[in-house]
Amino acid sequence: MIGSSAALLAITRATAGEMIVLIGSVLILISAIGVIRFPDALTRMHALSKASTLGVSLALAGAALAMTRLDDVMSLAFAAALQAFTNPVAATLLTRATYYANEPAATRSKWLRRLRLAEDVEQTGDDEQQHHNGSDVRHDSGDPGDAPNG
Amino acid sequence: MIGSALSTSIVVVLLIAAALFVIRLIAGPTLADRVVAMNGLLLVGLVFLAVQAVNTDRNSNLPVLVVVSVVGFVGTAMIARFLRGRKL
Repeated sequence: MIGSSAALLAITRATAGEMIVLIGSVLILISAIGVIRFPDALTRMHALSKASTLGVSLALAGAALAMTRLDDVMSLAFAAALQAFTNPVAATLLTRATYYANEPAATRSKWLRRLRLAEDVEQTGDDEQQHHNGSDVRHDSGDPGDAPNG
Repeated sequence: MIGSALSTSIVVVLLIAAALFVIRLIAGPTLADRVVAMNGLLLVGLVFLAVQAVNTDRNSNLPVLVVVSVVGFVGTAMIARFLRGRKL
């Protein structure tokens, strides 16, 4: 009776581990679809780093749940922790290198980089504001001269 | 039987993801896109090794998994260093 209960527990644990591995694989598939469909290198890195970090960590943790011996479980858990800690760092390094790729070597100072990043963020905010104003003007262009400019 | 269906579906999902990463690896316009696709292929191979270790209940390639994690991180960091200050 006790042996049968232990066998049922082992089968349940293996099935649960494989299900978690399946969830992680589906997350990796979602990140692959994002890598295919996103238009820019930075957005592709965004898709890969977030979804795929969670997917690989879940898949390795599920495999650790499905294994039985303690050294296998510890090895898989160590690999999962390693992926979960090093993958965002690698993605950040690669994103910084891509973002600052086209500037010459003479202007590589920390404060200039921060200034340029702040200017980029401010400029995108202005673009959204102008886009919003343009759509408003285009919307009520039936009676010109009535809309307050600015 | 349930475990067999689960492992088959895992392998199918991983193969579709690997095909998409290979498409991006071939068609990526810049070097950064190819690095991203290569990193994704590395992760797919990692999960495939783990699934195979679970299915065959054999632990001879689990250290390979840990080593591949470390080597993938070091390789991505090296390519980021190589890419800095270079025109894309």
